[in-house]
Amino acid sequence: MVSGGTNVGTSSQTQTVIEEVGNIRETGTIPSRIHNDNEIHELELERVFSDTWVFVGHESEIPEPGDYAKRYIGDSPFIFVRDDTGEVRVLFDSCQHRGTTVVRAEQGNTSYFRCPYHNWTYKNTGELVGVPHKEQFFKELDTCEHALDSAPQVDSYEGLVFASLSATAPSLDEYLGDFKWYLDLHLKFAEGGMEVVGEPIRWEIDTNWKIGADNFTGDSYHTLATHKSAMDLDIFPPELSAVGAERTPVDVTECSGHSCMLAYLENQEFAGGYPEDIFTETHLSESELRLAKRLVSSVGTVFPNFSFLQMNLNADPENREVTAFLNIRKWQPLGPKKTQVWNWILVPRDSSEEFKQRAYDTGISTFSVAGNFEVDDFAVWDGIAEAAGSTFGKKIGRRSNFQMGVGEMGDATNISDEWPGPGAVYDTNFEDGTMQTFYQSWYRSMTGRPIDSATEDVNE
Amino acid sequence: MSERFELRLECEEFLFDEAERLDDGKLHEWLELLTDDVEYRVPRRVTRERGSEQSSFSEDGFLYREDMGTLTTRVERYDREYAWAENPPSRTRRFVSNVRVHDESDDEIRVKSNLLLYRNQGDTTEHDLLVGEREDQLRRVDGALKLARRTVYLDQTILATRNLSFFL
Ligand code: FES
Ligand SMILES: [Fe+2]
Repeated sequence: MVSGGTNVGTSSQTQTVIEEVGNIRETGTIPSRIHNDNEIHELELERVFSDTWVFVGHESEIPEPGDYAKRYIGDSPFIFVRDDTGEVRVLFDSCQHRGTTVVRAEQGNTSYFRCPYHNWTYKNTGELVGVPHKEQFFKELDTCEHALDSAPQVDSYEGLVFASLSATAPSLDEYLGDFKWYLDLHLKFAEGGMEVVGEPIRWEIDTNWKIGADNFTGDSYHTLATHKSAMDLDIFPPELSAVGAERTPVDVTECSGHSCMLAYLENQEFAGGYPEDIFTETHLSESELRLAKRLVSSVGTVFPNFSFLQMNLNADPENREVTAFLNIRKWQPLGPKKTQVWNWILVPRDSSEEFKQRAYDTGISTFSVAGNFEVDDFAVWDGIAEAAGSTFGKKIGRRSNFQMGVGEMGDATNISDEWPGPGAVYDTNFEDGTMQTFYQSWYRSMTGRPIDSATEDVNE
Repeated sequence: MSERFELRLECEEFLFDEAERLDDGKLHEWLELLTDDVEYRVPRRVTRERGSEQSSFSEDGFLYREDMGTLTTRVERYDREYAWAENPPSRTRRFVSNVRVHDESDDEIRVKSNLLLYRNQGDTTEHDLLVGEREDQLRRVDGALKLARRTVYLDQTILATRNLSFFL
């Protein structure tokens, strides 16, 4: 079942490039070409974005019946809607008549979607309920057969709604697999869970979607250089950052095909960012809660393009207090070197309004389009795509290096045995295993395999 | 000259001087034009249906929501050689027009203006264009005008820029 898929319509050169990514564990390198190549991009839309689970939105964005938001899976338009019965749906935004998109707004509230072309009208469940002059022109049309198509699979985890364009992909629960343990640290520490503040900020960058996704698996190495100016100003409080003696970092790799980085205080609870009284033991195990209370920074990617980041930061170290926020991301591919960034800030639902606002302000002033940390990331990521897509880059077979701290390069120690959570876990955040995991999942997905090799073994 | 006309000229002069400081990268001098209790906000625009009862600007979504402290932190970051987003520095040129003085008390003046901001950076011809309306509250402090509150209403819901590493 695995073989064959990659050869159809794929040039042998592209085929070789994909295979080389599959060797990342041995070589620690990948062909840079995958970061700016038309053929690869087309294949990703067909394979990666059609066969995996892609993040759509958070349930708190559409709290009321009729609330909807326009969303995308790869390049396909969808309506993320809570219907009148309260059910969350992900409907393909393409009219059953001539196919134009029915929704043009980013979000709103409605009981009915009316197509602007010939006014076919759908309930917010997707059901076709209105065809103008049906009795005259469409006598035999069975409206029951013309509901808006739904994404083949829709499911949610702790308020995060994902959809899959594949009816046969394994369930979301299986897809997130063991990685749920890490999502839980960020989503389930407070009784009422998390909610989104405002609407996602969206902007476009001239790079490949994988650059943001791989950086967010835990490229801790770049923080020292790219974010030096923000670090020097103590926006990341020094006692919590890499220079803080008490801080323990880990890299979580190969966790059901996903990966992340965590840093926590070994000997101190409540790193400072969330209100102490927000933590509850209701939803977490003892070891999870222990860790959740000590987290100072974490970042991770659920393959393919959903990332999260939680940090304790300070937008104004002189006058404010350290504040935690949860930032979630979607790296939406618009082309081989064009990505639309979607950026949400989440806060504990049960926290005070004062805290929510402070957390939001801290989030946008550090990790958003105008964020003191992130503006510097966006300033350098476009160069990766530029060089990767260049003639000379292709001619010399330019490769990107992910060898840091892996194998003979460093002394990262695998501590999975004594670590309470799942995955192959290392005692440092200066190793590239998190990114190797991401590209391994990419390779598996591009060649029609499940992203998690463990799942495959079970199935065989 | 009518008093009203004079007041508009004075406001324009303030806004043009402010624009010059920002375009010339004199950010510390820009901070001097702000009151200590300045509020600086750029709400997120949301594309809604025509006739929607909700505002086309988010109530709680922002690109910037700043005070003097956070603005100062930002400016101090730009002082550093490692602030890559502005290294090489952006070349910005802002066109401030349609200045409308809306109401006034003795020392508080509400001024609206349009902003067209061109930004080019590095060795490429590509550029960003940001367009919007600004609603400012100017306050007379010791005889001179200062900016006490600014809200920028951008015309784009999705920003065509890799980062907002500059002020609007
Ligand atoms: S395309 Fe929608 S009604 Fe014709
Ligand atoms: Fe970064």
